[in-house]
Amino acid sequence: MTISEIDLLRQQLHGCLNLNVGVANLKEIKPVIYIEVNPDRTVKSSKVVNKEKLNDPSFRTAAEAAMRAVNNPDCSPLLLPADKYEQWKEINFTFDFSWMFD
Amino acid sequence: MIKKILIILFFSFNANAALEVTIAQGKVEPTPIAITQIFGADSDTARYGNTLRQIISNNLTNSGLFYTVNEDLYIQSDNLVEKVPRFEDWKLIKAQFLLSADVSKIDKGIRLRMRLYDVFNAKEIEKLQLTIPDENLIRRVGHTVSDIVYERITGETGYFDTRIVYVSEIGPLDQRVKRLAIMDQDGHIDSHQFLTDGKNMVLTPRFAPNKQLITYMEYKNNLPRVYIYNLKTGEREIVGDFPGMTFAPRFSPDSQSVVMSFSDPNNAANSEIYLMDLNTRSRSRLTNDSGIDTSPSFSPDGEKIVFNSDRGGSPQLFIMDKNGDNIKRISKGRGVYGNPVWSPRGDLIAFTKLTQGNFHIGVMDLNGNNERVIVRDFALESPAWSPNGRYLIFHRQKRSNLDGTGGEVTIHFIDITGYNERIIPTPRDGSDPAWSPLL
Repeated sequence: MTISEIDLLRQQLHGCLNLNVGVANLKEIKPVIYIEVNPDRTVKSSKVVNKEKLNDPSFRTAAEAAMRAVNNPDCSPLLLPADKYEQWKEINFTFDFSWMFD
Repeated sequence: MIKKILIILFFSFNANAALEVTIAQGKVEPTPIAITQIFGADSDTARYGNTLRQIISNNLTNSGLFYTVNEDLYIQSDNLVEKVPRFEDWKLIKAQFLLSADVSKIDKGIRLRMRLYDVFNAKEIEKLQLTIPDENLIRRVGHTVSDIVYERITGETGYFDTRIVYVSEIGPLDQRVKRLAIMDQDGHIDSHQFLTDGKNMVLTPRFAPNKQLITYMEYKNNLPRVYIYNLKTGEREIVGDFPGMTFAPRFSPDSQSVVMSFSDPNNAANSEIYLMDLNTRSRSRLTNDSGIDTSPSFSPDGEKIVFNSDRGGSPQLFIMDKNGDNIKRISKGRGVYGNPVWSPRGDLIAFTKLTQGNFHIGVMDLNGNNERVIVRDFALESPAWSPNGRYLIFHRQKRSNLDGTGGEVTIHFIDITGYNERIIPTPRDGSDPAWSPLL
């Protein structure tokens, strides 16, 4: 996929990620969400990759917010190039919240 | 040959690998939550449920982190305590969370059952069952449920089941009647109560961390003295037998001591900070300087004290050890600093600053770095932290007129990001607010 195609997807997700600031150590928390995508570009399944950290309430809050972003109806279907299904049928999204502290 | 196989394997691996994308932006705006009718089996419990729902909805909305989705949009109208919601219906109206509850009469009072759902992730994330022995506890029940929802979704401690003590004011500016008053954090009139009768002027009330005591300054026989008010008994007592004026009191984190200023009657231009042990009544002097040392506030661990002093010329902020050692100036900017208050999280100092004819309320790191103004106006005073360290309350005064009218004082709430400022309603003017810990 080209950089501009990935940027388009990224921009779409930015609009679907809503996090209430205030979670402790949010700057260091980076949940990774793995999704499987249907050919029609809707999300088939989603899961937290670094789930060993889910016992930490701060991580759990951030990871749940990230899961809501990928399952947000405003982000369905995902803005992906139809002719490159093999390249985007699985995606790992790494959520980095350090932007909230800039 | 081996090299060729390795290259083939490498491309093969890449072709099957997941696409990697980093999301490093998002939006910070109120999260939509749907709160269904709180179902009751009869008219009494239904009325109870309606009131509870109103309290919870108001609390969450006032936090600035949520908005309640308009009920007219709800597609599903069932009691969802025992029934799995049709998440697709709630997704359609863009509710990210769904709260459902019911109330019923039982032998020991009223039973409340609550379920909280994450709609986009299609799962229950919290459930609760409470027995409420006394119907009059309805406001506290509403606040408790609000705290549970807030904490589960944001990951930080709630602040709804708390109270605010403040100074209620009425009358012309030169004959102000000032009384101690207390109310729930939302300022609801049903929770409002006066603690003093207004015969003597009162100032600077502060809650004890044990939630039972309030320390404040009262002018009795024209002598300002620090008092303690017991919320359980309504009794008042003077803190310490000082020969002159005592003021600006605040409790230590263990509620066993009060730190305050004392001004020698023979030298009004000097005041020092003292610590009074409430059990032994012994006192110790923490500062010793020719200037005015005042407004002490303990760190949450009780090891340090931030205070205000004009020892260097203009009033600035300083931090010292709890025994008065290692005094260091922390404020660095221009202007006159005052009213420092240590955050309950321990990471920030809130303060007031007068510069260029305006008051500012801001926060800074413990070393004085990263000073940030949150709000500025003609007259702002008395910042106080919410128990979770996310919000500040303070008072704002309007300009007065030449005929003595105007000058209204109101209590305000604001997120430390500087957003979501709103007035906390009081039946009369209100100043000097202080927040209790979680009850």
